[in-house]
Amino acid sequence: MIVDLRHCDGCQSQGTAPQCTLATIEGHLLPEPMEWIEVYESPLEGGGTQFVPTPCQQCQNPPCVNVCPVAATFSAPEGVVLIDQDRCIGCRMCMAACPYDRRFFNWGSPPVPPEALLADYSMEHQVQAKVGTVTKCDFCVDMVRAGSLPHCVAGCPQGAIYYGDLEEDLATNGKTLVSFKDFTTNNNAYRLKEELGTHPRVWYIPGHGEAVGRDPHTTGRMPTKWPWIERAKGAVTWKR
Amino acid sequence: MEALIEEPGTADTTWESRLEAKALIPGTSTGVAFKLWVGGLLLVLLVGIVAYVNQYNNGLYVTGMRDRISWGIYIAAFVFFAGISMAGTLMSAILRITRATWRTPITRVAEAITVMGLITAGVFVIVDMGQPLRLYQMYLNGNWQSPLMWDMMAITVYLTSSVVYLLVPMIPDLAFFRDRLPGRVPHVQSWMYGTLSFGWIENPPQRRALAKAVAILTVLIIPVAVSVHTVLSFVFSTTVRVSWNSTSFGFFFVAGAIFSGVAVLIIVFAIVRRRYHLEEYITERQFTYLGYLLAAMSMIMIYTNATEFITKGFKASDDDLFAFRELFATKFAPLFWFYFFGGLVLPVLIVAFKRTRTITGLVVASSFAVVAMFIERYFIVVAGMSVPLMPYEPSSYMPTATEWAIVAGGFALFMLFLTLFTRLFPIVAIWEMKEEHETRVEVAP
Amino acid sequence: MNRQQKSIQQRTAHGLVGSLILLLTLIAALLGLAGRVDAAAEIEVDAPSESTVGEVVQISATVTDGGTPVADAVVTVSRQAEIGGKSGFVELDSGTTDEAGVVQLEFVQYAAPSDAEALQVELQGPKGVDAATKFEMKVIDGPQQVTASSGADVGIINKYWLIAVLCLVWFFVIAATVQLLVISRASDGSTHSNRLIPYFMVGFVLFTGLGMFYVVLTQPTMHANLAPNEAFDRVPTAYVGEIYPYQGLGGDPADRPDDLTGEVLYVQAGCVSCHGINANGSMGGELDNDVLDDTEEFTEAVREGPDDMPAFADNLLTQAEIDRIIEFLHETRTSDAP
Repeated sequence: MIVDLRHCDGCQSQGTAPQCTLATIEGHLLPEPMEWIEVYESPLEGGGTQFVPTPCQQCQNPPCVNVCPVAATFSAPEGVVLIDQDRCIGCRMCMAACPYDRRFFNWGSPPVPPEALLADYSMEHQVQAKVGTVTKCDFCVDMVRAGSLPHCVAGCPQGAIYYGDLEEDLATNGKTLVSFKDFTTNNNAYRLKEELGTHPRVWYIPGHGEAVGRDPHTTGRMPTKWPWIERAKGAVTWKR
Repeated sequence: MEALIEEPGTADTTWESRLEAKALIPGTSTGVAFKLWVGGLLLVLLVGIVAYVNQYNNGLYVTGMRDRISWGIYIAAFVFFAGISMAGTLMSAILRITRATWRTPITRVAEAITVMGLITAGVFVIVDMGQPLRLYQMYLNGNWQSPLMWDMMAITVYLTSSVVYLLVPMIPDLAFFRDRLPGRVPHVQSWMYGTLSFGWIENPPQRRALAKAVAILTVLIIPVAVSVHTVLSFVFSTTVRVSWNSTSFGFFFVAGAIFSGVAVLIIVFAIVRRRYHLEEYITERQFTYLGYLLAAMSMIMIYTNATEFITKGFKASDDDLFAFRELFATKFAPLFWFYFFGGLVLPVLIVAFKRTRTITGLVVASSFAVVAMFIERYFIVVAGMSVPLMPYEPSSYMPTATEWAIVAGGFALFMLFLTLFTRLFPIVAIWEMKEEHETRVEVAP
Repeated sequence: MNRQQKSIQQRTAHGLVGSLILLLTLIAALLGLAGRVDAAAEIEVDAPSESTVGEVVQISATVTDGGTPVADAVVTVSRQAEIGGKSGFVELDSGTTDEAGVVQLEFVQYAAPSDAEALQVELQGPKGVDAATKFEMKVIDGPQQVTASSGADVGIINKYWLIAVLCLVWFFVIAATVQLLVISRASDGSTHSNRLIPYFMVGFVLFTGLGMFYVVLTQPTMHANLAPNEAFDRVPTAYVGEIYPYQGLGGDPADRPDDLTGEVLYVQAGCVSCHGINANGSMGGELDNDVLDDTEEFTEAVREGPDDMPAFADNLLTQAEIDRIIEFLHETRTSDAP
């Protein structure tokens, strides 16, 4: 995945919460307060801010996988890091190990839409959430296999998020196809916390939304809202 | 049968019979105070169990932990109890190897604390799990790369060998109970003494086997005990969180474990001594030596903390500075400074002056040390996690009533175990004391 | 490694891309009508017929205009690709022709979705593509291009070290425990002790120790790049949104297929959100058999919506659909009954 920060304005121009996050919540039926792709606002050196949409980094050397005592989280053959919620014992060691704060624990039974309750569970589509287990962004491999783009890529109105296959040297934001190699090299792409040696599979092209006309000094974004209303008995929400 | 333990020609029979009489007291006497104490502990334990059932039914939602601070007081309690367990067996083994004679009256209780501490620590791991019923997955699908798996292995080895180490030297004493107590205690109790003394009749093959087992375990248990706490620290220091990112964590945890363990030993000895009238055997001498050990470990802790803070603070990465500010000045400052002055400096001062180096003084120092060490475990876990990883507002953590109730239940469980142990089992190593007394009597004239 | 060189001309002789050349000529003719100077430009490509993943592919292209070589023309090579429902051409390399009109292009072959890859060499004019030649290349699977440098892959550091430590430790633990057995067996039987207990204890310690070995020896490999893929059991994917699309309360019956089951209707119409999955009730009441048995009253309640319940008129739920919901609930309730 490549995130072109030059095109990301935190959906300030749309007047909504970041639509990648909203699309992910809708698509994965995520309970509050899970934002599998979270748009952080991070300060720039010379003043102003940039928006950094952060999904699970799908590290090649994932700290979370190394520490899981029951191998419930693992690197799938495609390279994606997945979690088996039927095996997870809920020790939260992986959450302590993840340097990107991209893992979420099902602390209780949150309100979810009714269709989530009847869905068949799959590691590649972690619905429905199991209380007492860890969950996170699954990189939507199942969707790509079926011929559609991940929710966050499809949801981005600016086409800032590219999704692709390293093996095929290919990425797309739904509008254009690019060579992953050339696109990252030509645009000085970097990765988050590269010094840790986790080798994330999410690259960032530096920027602060200038390509879509964002002034870096216009700070703040709309807060994310979850559409699910509390209906089920005993359903609870929490803060991260 | 009465003369089973008494060797013919022993010089000091009055000393021996007095020892035997004292040793038999706990096995037979129960008072109102004892019943009240046990009842109180059971009540606290029950509250803890109710709180846990509530947590089990509602998920960990009922705790104060959330995604960004995902470990809390349970893990702190786990580290704390594992730390307590460290001192008992390690002390007893080191002193046995170095043939320190003053240890004999206190080793048994120290070993018991080890077993009880480990069991309680294990309980806290399970309490902290989101899916405790899947613990079997550690065996079925265990991943040996994981520090938690190393931890489980080390703790399993330690618990198994500690139980054997507690049991083996107790066999002659259990045989003594078996022979002396029938008729004076319930049938189940005397059956237990009979079973656990393994038909001990003190013949030469049995003595050889006993000596062999003790020798093996004494040597084995020291590296195992050290490894347990080192590996426990790996659970933290193998992650990339700045506050935990330290090579000295293993040593630091071992030192802290011995420190808190010795403090607990002093407190327990003081209580046992008073309660079971063992003033003649557990003397000021034992307390003074333990006090020296406490002060020494306390100074090692100060030293380790200093090296840690100075090396990190000098380089002063942003995250380290954030952690330092929280620890020294803002969120955790009261806890930290209580730990530093109350838990580390005060015990050294109390031990340093002859006037305060009394049993009462040492118990006060130890109480401070125990509380401080629990606090230290708490802020290692929570302050380590409260350093933000990404640009978000630092989150906070406060244990909820459920967590407090379960932690209190854990302490009650530990004390209950210990109380029942002192009540049911020989708490002084009668045969070892006799042996030692004999050699002393032989050497003295 | 089979690297037979084949030119497009040869292929033309085989009649493979004759029609393409015809098309190009047509385009060239059209462009020539538009008055373009280099309208008759032609690209001749010399490419290998197959390539292996991970190796460098070299292609040379010659640009001619009515037989004369064109210098300083920008030529690109791109491949056809498809991902996530989006398809198109991705540029691999570009270069400028020399005096002879020849340009050397090269790129690293990455994995292809199938065993052949469609490529295209284009001449970039000032206003876009002036001429293009398409050809196919067979792709042979090679080693994985993107490999993980996992923390566990240090060669000599492997689980047998851990096994060695475990062996050492457990040998001593078991040796010590066996002494209990020795003590027990050395007894003369004058005391009433259970002889089985020591055996049990030794057995327990053995069991615990062997458990540790079992864990290490049977550990799953978690890094896909370190192990064969058989280590993973893939679960078929459920497309939640496709199976149970939520349409709000009711929805228009005309938009729905007629054969939806009672279960899907119960979810789609939104009944489930108040009455719960097994109709155990939460915000709405429990739909037990007493309620379900009186079909008329039940239907009336659905149509009119007592208390806070929304009314489902027949433009939201047809009578047949309500019957199917009742049928489904009957089954659920019966199978759940103790």
